Amino acid sequence: MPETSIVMSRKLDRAHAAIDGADAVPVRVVWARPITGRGAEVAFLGDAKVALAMIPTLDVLDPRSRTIAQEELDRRYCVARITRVHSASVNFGNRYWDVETDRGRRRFLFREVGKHVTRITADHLLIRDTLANRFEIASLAALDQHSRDQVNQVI
Amino acid sequence: MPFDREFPASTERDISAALEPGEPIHVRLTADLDFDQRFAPVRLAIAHKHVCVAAEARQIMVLPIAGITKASSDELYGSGRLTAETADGERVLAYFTRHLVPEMAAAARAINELIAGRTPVLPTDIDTASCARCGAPLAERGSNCPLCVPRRQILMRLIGLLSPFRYRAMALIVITLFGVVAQMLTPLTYKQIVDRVLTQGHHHELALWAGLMLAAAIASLVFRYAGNTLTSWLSGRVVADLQGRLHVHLSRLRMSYHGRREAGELVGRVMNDSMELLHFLKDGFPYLLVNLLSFITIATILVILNPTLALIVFVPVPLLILGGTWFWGKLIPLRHKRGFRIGRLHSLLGESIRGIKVVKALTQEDRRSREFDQNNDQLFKTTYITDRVFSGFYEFLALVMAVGSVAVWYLGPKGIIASGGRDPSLGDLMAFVAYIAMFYGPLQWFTAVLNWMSSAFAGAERIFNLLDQVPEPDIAADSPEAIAALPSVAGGIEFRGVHFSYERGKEVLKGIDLVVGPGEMLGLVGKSGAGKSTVISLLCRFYEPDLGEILLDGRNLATLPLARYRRHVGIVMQDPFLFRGSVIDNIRYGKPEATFAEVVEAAKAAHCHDFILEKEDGYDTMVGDGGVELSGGERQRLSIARAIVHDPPILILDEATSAVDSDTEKSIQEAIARLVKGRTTIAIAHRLATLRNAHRLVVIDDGRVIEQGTHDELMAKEGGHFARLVRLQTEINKLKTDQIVSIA
Repeated sequence: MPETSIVMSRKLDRAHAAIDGADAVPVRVVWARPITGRGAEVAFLGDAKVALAMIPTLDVLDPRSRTIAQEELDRRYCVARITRVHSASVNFGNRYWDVETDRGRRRFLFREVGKHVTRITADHLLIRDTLANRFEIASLAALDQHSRDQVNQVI
Repeated sequence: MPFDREFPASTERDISAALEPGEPIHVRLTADLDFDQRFAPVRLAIAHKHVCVAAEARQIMVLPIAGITKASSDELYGSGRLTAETADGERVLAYFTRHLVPEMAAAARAINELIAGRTPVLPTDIDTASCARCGAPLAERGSNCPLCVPRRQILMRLIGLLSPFRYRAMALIVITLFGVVAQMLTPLTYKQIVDRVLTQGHHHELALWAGLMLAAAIASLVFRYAGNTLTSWLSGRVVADLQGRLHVHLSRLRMSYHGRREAGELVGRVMNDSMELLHFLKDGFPYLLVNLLSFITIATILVILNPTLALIVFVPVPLLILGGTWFWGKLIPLRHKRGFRIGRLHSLLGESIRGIKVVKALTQEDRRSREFDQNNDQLFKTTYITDRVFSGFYEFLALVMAVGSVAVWYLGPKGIIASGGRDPSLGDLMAFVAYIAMFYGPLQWFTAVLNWMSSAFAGAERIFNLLDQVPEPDIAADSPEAIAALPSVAGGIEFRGVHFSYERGKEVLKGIDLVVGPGEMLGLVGKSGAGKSTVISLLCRFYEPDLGEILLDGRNLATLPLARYRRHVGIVMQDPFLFRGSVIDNIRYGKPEATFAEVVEAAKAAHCHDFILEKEDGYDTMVGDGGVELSGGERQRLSIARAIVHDPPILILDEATSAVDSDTEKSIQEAIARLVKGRTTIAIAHRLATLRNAHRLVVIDDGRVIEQGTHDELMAKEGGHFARLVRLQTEINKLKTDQIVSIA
């Protein structure tokens, strides 16, 4: 990946980036691989749906730019990490979940395991509900027994 | 109602204090993510001059509308945000989960309306994503909450399907009752033979009881056969009628319904859900009915025969029910898993075969094999565990039943000895033993059948949900009212400030204004995704505009009878769809009463007469799914012939020549030139040169009309969009030609 110089700034809530010495422009900061490579390559998209730059990791940025980029990523990727499964059941073909997450308690549902559950590893699951809200079980093994039993009921 | 009428009192107070005295609030909406994107309420009030945002942990944020240049609602990864652009930069007003995408889009539009000096009108047709009653998430916005639909209601609707066949249904119930009674008689005859004939010495009664036993067996057989036959007829008839209703209903549902769903999902609903229901009605429901009746009858007989012994028989019943519930609770998820893994294996195998060329070309055979083996191994393990659990369940039930039998065999004879064979008698014991198997047997499957019922009811609920969707409002095209409402069409079309979005929050048309005179040919030009096809979809009334109106001969299209209007519109698509059937049937699809001479005339005009006759079966050649393969150009010309037979005053050509080679295009162009004569025509063409004959061209970009005029006017326009597109296309064509020449 060619070396790119990126300096980030903010105008109120909007991130801007000056790329390779050019004027700062509004950008959207995205993971290149949001499912399998969060924490790795980061891309900067312009308003005209153009990829302006991509860097191998946030570490190549200066501390202030890194903070802004990280904030942007945190705001863009809303993935609630499931810490406890209160209940999970299959009812009328729907898989209903009532979970505790790092963002608070939530109820959601999906229908098809194959379509809505991505196994990053056997232990690490990403779940997309019917409305495209995202949830994550970072480690199935780390959940308590009750939660694991509930997950096993529906997945 | 997705919007709030009122916020909690303290929030109302804070917001009122931030506004000018008496300033009206147009929109109140509660976002469900706070500024740290935790699930927490944030109140958003859009007042006449200000936007106020009140989050629990923050001070109230107030933005004057006058300071906002534009509001928008964007979708993020797993969430969304409402933003306001100001002179100082962009301000986030709220974060929200995907539940609130339509509501926030409406909020953004409301702010933009206020910026433009208009009073916002909130949409009233936003479907919520959660059940208003129980708060559970819904599988689809606006759908029924299955958790709140009582099973009794589904059952009543299922029973309602039987109403045309009520006499047969009643006959089935009577037959089932008689069948159960006949089945119950046999053990009683055992008792009589043992007690009366063998013990009490009434030997002359032997023939009577044996005869009765035979009669009971024959009656049971006859009733069972009659019951099964009737059940098959009834369930088959009900499901076939249901499938027919679903098919008709699907064809009448709005495109917005179809657009949100994959064809496979709807086919699954018509076929799989109804077949699941059929299997349950045919096998599960009779099982429940017969065994429930048998269970009650046997329990009553046992109590009458000997209450003490009956109690002993009843002791394992709760154990059987609880054990069954526990085991099926384990088994059902395992069976789902197994089903999922079988599906995955099917899809892997299918991919390997369909993609065999790519696999071989990239030498990935080993990788595919490894992937298949891995999944195959998972399936093996799940199947093994499922079978192991099932065997354990079966043996557990056998053990419980054995214990019950042993108890009867132990305590029964003890009672006989103690009472001298009076209470219970030897006959009682024989009857008990016979009844035990009949009594315990069905219990082991009850939970499974109840689960089966639950799954069949889930299918029924989905079917009813589909049937409950409101179809396009319409009256038959040939009805006197329709003819009176739309006797004829001259073909004048006007779009007035038309806005449209397939999904709320993602506006595709942003205020389209255009006029097409009767008999005029208008070319629509623009990049992919500019909104050209959407204009056509709205003109066909596949969708209705969100804002603005479309006029036909000066009358609002939305007020005209739909089927009658569509009779006057013909469409030739980029990838024309041919139905399974003969060439002749496809050409006269829009006018089945067309004569063969009319069909031939249209085929000649569309330049397809010759190639049709070249086919072995001529006009009887079967095309469509499973029929003869036709080239893109041939199918295109058939669809033009279809449009000619249909003879509509309004014609739509959607990329009609984009998928064919230059020679074929020439002949299609000639066919089109004949077709458009005297008709109002709206044409989209990727190759701009093909629109040279259009009276006028309209350039659309990002959902707006940016240029219009004749071909020559637009070409002469300095820095014009159309002229640039034509130049670009000419250069690409030149490059292609140069490449071909250099290769040659």
